[in-house]
Amino acid sequence: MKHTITLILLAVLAVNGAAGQTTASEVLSNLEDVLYPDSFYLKVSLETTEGGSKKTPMVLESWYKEGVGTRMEILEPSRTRGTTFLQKNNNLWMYNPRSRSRDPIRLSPKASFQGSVFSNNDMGDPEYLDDYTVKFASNKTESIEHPDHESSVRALEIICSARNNKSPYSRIIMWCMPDTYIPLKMEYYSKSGYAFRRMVFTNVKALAGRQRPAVFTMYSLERENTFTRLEFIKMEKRPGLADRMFTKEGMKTQ
Amino acid sequence: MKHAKIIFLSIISLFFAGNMNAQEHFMYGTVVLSLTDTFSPASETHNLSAASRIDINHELTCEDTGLYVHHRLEKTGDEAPSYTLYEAFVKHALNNVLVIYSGKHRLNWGTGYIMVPSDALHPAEGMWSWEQQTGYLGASLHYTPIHWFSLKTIISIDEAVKLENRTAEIIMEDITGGLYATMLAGPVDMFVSGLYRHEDVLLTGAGASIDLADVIINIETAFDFYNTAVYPDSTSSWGSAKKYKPFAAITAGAERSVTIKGVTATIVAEYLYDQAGYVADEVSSFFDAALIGTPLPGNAPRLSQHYGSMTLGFDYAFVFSIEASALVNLSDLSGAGGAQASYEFDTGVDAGISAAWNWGPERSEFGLPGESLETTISVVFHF
Repeated sequence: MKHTITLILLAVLAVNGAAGQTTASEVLSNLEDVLYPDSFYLKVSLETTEGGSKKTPMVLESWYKEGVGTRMEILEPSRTRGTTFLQKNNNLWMYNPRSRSRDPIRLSPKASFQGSVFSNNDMGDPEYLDDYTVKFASNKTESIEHPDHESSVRALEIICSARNNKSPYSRIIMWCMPDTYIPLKMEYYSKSGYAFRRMVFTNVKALAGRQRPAVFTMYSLERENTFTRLEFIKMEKRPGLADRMFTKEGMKTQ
Repeated sequence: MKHAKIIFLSIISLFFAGNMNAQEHFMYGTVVLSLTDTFSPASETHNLSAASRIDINHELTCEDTGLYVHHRLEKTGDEAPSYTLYEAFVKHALNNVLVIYSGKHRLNWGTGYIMVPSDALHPAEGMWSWEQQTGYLGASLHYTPIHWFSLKTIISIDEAVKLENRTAEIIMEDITGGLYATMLAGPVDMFVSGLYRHEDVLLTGAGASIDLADVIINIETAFDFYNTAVYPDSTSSWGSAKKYKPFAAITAGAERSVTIKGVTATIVAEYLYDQAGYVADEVSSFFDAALIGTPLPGNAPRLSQHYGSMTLGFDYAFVFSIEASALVNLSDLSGAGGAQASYEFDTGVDAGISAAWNWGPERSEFGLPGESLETTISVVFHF
């Protein structure tokens, strides 16, 4: 009888213990919180190195409201100044004030963002949970090399699989710190199953009220010495952004 | 008059420069220097002309209000400088859901790429919608209660109206009222629209665009209940306008863009059916009259009911781009085409070469003015 009670207590503790563990979805949710607040203003620089040679750097601003969308506007270089992007779910529009039509046109989110290694969707959609199902890798943690750490670092590894064909990648593997959920790197897979981009997150610092990586470097795994470095210049939480900012008319006038 | 416009341009620029301390001032634009050779195969002549052009966009924003101006100053050959004011409007947000625009403003309209049959609001600079850059003169109130729905109410006045000696009743004939509603439902972006001007315009429109497996599909339809175009009657003379007959126009298009190893390739194709366009007999009468010098009506419709357009472009890492496009009258197979290449050889400076040509026999829409080939080299400075 005593043994039976002990076994039952152990079973209850085991169940409670399992319930107390963080699930893969929670890891991804926490990781998303580390990357961006729910509603924010962001100013970034974007510099692409193509085959070893640097291209004209870009500066852009973006406004994001959870559940609504992202509005981005290019400030530099002068050649594309004033060009605006609006992304809502998997829908993307671009407004180029220099074009003849002077109306926003609809684009595919999967195409390259302004000649960079980032896709339009990478720049405009900071949410993964709505597009991917998530599970831990078989080993759950893995030792990886990372530029911010002198020796190899133990990281949580999660695998995100596309919910449907609309998702921009078939699979994304993510590594993050097990305690803080600060992302370390992500690998992006095409529908044919090969890894073709890798993002490395570095330069963690205080931004919009918490520690976040301030530099995202996206490497092309198809082209040698080709990568885009995105660096946060300024980030602010902006609760209460008006929905009208995230409309096609709002693309033309802030 | 032209001098007055240049003075206006200067005043606007000074106004903006003087308000640099306002919350946010944003100015950008381009300076284009070009040299164009126009070759006429019929006469085997070349005509060389130089041109310069400056386009300036201003944005001056302060809290809930903004002033936006887009204008152009252009000088071609020995001609006097020309000035075009495309937009000059004030935007004021009454609250988070209501915004009012007033002045000369261009609204987003329709889903078509270059053919927007539901738009009779913006002044047309030619037969084709892509030539419509200029804003309408008037005001609009935008209601956006939620991010996926928006309603615009519009009132517009004909720019040519002179208020002297006009009665209220006559002025009403120069005022256009309109509604434009948009809705985003999942991947489908939809709109419905309506425009009305007393005894002149009654145009309804609807359209949608959707991303299907990375192909953007657009469709737009319009019904013109008040077509005032002039058609020849059965005896091949120019008769009176056909009114109150609902004419339909439908445009459908597709766009696909792919990026492979840094090169982005884009193809856009679009078809237009315009029921108001001339049928074969009417086209024949049109050319009979045109070729013997008979004065033609000013408000002729399109010369065909069927048009197609296609654009093919390649862009390498946003440094080098090449694009070719064509618009074809599918009834007589005449058309107009263009090709251009651009290379960024220094930060903010592009070198470009472009060609534009039209083709078709004498009795065809695009061949009627005579075939020609224009070749232009240009340097573009972005600021």
